[in-house]
Amino acid sequence: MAHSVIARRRALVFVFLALSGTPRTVCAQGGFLWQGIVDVEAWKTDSASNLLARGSGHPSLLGRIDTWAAAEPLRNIVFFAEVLGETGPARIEAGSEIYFKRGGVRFSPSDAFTLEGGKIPQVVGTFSSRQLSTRNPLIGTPDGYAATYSYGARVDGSVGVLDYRGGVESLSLWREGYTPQPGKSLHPAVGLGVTPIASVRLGASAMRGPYLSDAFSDQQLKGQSWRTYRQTIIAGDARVSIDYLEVHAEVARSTYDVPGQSATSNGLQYYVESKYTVMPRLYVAARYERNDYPFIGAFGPNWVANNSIVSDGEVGGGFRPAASTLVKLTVRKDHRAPNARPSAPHDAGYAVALQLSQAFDALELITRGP
Amino acid sequence: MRPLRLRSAPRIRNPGTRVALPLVLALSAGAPLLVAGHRSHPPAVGRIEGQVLLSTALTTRRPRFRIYTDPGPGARPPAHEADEMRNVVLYLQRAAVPDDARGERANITQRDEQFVPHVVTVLRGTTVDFPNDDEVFHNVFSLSSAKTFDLGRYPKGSSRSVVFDRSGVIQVFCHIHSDMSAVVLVLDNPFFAVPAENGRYAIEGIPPGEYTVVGWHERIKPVTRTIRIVAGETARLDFNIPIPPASEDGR
Repeated sequence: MAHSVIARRRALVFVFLALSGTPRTVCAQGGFLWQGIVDVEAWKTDSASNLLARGSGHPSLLGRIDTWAAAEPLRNIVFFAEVLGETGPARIEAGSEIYFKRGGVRFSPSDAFTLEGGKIPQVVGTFSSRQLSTRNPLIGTPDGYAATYSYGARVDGSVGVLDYRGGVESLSLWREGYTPQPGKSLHPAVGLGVTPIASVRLGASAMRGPYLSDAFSDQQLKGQSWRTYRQTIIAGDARVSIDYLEVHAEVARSTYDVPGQSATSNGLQYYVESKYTVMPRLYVAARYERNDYPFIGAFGPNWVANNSIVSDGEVGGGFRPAASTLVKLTVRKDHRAPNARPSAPHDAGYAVALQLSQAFDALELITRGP
Repeated sequence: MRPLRLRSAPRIRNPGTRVALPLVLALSAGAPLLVAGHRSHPPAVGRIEGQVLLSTALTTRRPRFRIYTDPGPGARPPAHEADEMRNVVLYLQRAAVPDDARGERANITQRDEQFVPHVVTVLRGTTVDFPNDDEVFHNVFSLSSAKTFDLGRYPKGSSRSVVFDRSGVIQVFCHIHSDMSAVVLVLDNPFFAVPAENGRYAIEGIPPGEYTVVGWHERIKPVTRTIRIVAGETARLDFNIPIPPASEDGR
């Protein structure tokens, strides 16, 4: 009994300290942060498209919370974690899920240098920085740019008009459904960018490393280690903004070594996205994407490596009832070329989605009320 | 930051009296003590002076952290300004407005990815400029009911302006840098002051009468006090503002 009272008191003290930050006598610290975004989505799709179908084509709902917390016990050293929970029949996968999305420690003594270790987003590409629903002008994510996270370390920084990033990641850049689930190994990745004028940034990034795993047999791997079969990705990106118009574009060239095949399997993917603010609360946006991406899989001892050509477009708009609230309505259509991999459905589908996003700051809610 | 200066000796729109008021109301962050200074006090006005104390509540200190950032300049959040005393405003509620009271232009600069100053108090009808001093684009906007605007993206050296023609609290943000924020407090009368760093403040040139004085900070429910102003006298009024403290290292 006494123990439970003490434990309860300790818990209360812990909660108080967590909310109030460490005592002021401890210098050079920056307190605690807890923020997030709650999304509610309504979907209506057809059931024909691999990419777009949700809820078996019936009108369906989805709820999502993406929340992150950060604490800075020492100056410029921030420990953080991001967790995502999702539920509802409109999920791509059935059921509900809560998972650890990202986390680790970040050391950022200056604009020129930030070091982050833990579960990190990929270095290649730039869409991961805009995947939060309040930053994505549309509801969908480009099929070729779904964010993937792996364990590793990365550095970022900018000096003058130049910026850089680089890291070592434990996984290859995985295109689920196109390439096998990768095993863990070291993947170096680098990125460079230049911002010649404030409205324009041009960037390039690349990574290389094994993309298969030890799940394959020696026969399938033709007697070699799975680590000898590598993925190489070279990507470019551009961001242009002027006045009320923003344009983002990315392109990536991917090359895969395929067991038993002398030639590499290559793919090319790109998207172009624009957003125009019509009035303070209202914007319109559009995105076009084309993926000429290799499907690579083992069927018995043999490997298939065919390109699957998918194009899709999404148009829509967003309305901001308040600064932290965003409502989006979009329509997306896709089309898969009929000469794609033999087992692929020759699908073309559509999706209409309505999304309500509410950003929140948990500590402000506690201290000030809703 | 230049002080808000009334263009000429304004007249008070007060039944039965027309009193000349030479007022100079200093405004916001740059001014150490916002005092309605003038060459000579007409005897028919009084003044308020006092001390503002900031008491601490549950802290909302923030790490210098953005979970996702676009690559390129501006990926790291700025250090936050800590002087919360500059974000406090004392003003009279429902005071008579001098006939020709006009606020001069004010400005909120975008510098080091912050709005400087964080809080600007202006008289209704004042134009506020939003110059960009940063190497990166900013996109200033507000969705507040008292004023909704979106200034679009503009680079260093450019400025855009907004006329605040309705009183109220206008929260200002940047579309590109979500942790940038500022507040424009638009008032119906020119009787307001921002305390000095030591917390002292004064509001001068107030016509005699009974007033409600408001102690305002963006993160609290306004604190109100009632006070009687007598011509030629100074009324003393202290405020205790319960706001979250700033961190010790300037963030």
